[in-house]
Order: sequence, then C-alpha cells, then structure tokens
Amino acid sequence: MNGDGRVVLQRVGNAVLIPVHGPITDDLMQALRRVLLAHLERGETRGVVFDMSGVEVMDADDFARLRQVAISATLMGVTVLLAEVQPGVAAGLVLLDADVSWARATRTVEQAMGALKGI
Amino acid sequence: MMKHAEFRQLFDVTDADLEQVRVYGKRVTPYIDAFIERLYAFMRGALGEHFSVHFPDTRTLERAQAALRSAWLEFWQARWDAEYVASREHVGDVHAQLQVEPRHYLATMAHASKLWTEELAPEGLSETERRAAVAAVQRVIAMEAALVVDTYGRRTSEIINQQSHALIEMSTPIAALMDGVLMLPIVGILDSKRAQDIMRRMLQQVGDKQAVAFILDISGVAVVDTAVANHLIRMTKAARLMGCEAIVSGVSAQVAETIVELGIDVGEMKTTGNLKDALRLAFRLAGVEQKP
Repeated sequence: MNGDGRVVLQRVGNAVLIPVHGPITDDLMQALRRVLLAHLERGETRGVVFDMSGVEVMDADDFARLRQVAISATLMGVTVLLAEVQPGVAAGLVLLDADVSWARATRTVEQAMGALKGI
Repeated sequence: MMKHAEFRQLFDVTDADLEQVRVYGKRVTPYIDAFIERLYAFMRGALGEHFSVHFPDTRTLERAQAALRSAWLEFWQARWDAEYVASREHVGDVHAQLQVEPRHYLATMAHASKLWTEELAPEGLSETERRAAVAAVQRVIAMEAALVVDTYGRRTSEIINQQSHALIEMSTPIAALMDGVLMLPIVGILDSKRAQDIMRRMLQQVGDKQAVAFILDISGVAVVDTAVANHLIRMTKAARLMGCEAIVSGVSAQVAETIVELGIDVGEMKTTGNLKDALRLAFRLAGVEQKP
C-alpha cells in the first residue's frame, strides 16, 4: 500500500508483509481487502504483518478502516500483526479512544515474522 | 509586520514624534549625570531591600549606571529601528534573568519620564513647544517600557516552561532494568497533564529501547480514582500497540478495592500487587530464564 493508492503485498515465506504509507482512504482499504483476501484464499498464508513504520499520523477512522481489513483476514484463519507503530500514533489513537483491543503488535517487523514462524 | 513598526503603530508614534525626541534629547543630554544620580536616589528609596539585592556592591552599581547612561543616550537618538528594538529586547531578557519585578522597572521608567520632562526640563522652550515635546517623549518612553515588559513576560514564561519541562523529566525517571525491560515508578499525583507527559516519554523509550515489557509502579501514587485508572489503561493500551506489554505493579488492597467499587473495567491491563511479581512477568516476556 503506498501513497499513490496502489496496493503492495510482499510475500515473505508463508506470511504477507504490507507496508502502510500515506493517507488511508476508504477506496484504498477496499482495494487492499480485495487483493489481500484473494491472496489468502489460496491458502498458503499463515500471517499478515502491517508495517506501520511509515505512518506518522493516524486518526480513529483510519484505524477503524485498518481494523476492518484485519478482522476480515482473521476470519480467514490468519494471524494479523501490526509492527513498528510510532509512539505518536499509539498515543494519539488511545487519546482519541480508538478501539485498539483487536490489535496485536510487535516492536519490529522481524519480531512479527519471528512470532508468525512459531504459529 | 516588523516589531518596531508594530510598536510604533500601537503607540501612535510618528516620524515627527521621533524628531521631537531627538531635538529635546539634544537639550537634555547635558544633564545625563544629574539624571543618573537622581534616578538611582529614587530607586534606592523606592525599591527598599530589593535595591541591595540587585546592586549588592559598588562595582555592580557602577556597571549598571554606565549601562543605563549609554541606554538613555541611545534613547535620545530616537532610532526606533530593528537594531534598537533588539537592544531593548536584550534589556528585557536581562531583567527577566535578574528577576527584576516589572512593577519596579515600570516605576523607575515613570520616574525617569518625570525627571526628563519636569525636574530636568530644558529652559527656553515656549509652552506650546514644551507640551508637544513632552507628549512625544512620554509616548516613546511608554513604548519602550512596553517593549521591555513584553520581552520580560515572554522570557519569564520561557524560563517557567524550561523549569516545568525539567521537573517533568525529573518526575519520570525511566530505568532500563535489562534489554527490553523498562521501569517507571510513579510518585505523587497523576493528573491528566502529567499522565500525558508520562505516556509520551514512556512510548518514546519503548520505541528507542525496543522494550517488550514496561513496568509502571504505582505504589507511590497518592490517589487512584477513575481518572487515574483511565490514564493507566490508556498507557497500557498505547504500549501494547507498539508491541510492548505494560505491567502496572504496586496495586495495594485499598487500590484494588477502589477500582472494583468504582466499577472500572481494567480490560486486559496486567496488574500485580508487588514489584517482584511484575519483574518476574516482565523477565518472562523478555525471554529471560528464571529459577523456579
């Protein structure tokens, strides 16, 4: 997923790494969900990691859109992890009372990949 | 708008006023020594014990008098430009650093104005000329005093901000117990502002130190009510979003009872009664093997 609205999925072993950058629009999230779920249907994926290192600002609506994609993926039996959420983003989301209960997170992408290996 | 222009507009000081000040200045500057002497006599009487605080010895007093002398000689040149404004802002900075009370500064300026326009007023001016000159001089003195007090106020609030920042830094001593495990003992009152500061520093450290566990020890928190509990819940949620488990330790029986009585839903917040249990949990999260 990048700033010009294209969806980028990187396959790493049996996981999918999705770098998140730029504005998280409805259209972009719908496109991401479509591409991701189609990919998950093939049945080779155990986990999905959203690399959040490129996100400096995120509001509660953006996070809710991300949640919808994550929950859809979880329903297909994969583990979804957020990695490298920035301090400002984490603080902002809880201060905005965003629903963060669904999110499982790791400090780094490597830790997320390591966690998925153990599944 | 440049500051010197803004002040001139605020105090309605025209080019003609500045010219009046320059002309008047040429007539009064020969009395500068008498002016300094009388102004310091006034300050000695009016400031009382503050005078000896600001001028503890003869050397300091002489230095201050020399600075005042050149400041007034500059004033009478009536160059109200960016350079002059910067020099007066410096005066405001110095007054703030020396913690001169604004009322003392303003009283001194009022007396200076009186000295120049009454006691040391030059001879040989018609009443009309004198009135016009005095009005211009008083306006420019008021403008200069406003600039100095303005700078004084800004500098003082900067000093307060720096001090409160230092206080916050001191009140959030985050310690790294080992790789991936951080700890912060919270002592005193946890209000909304402090909670946000603690959360900001905590998350920054979680990111910098790649922490997997963060112990918040609340045994020193004076009161745990709904607001405090909500702050703690937010901190743990934010830390979890960054992949770090926050453990709240030091929950006493009384605090536990209060939380239940207030009906606070602590959700998935991990809590322990003492630091020992919190450390055990944190080390387990960090993958450290412990003796059974």
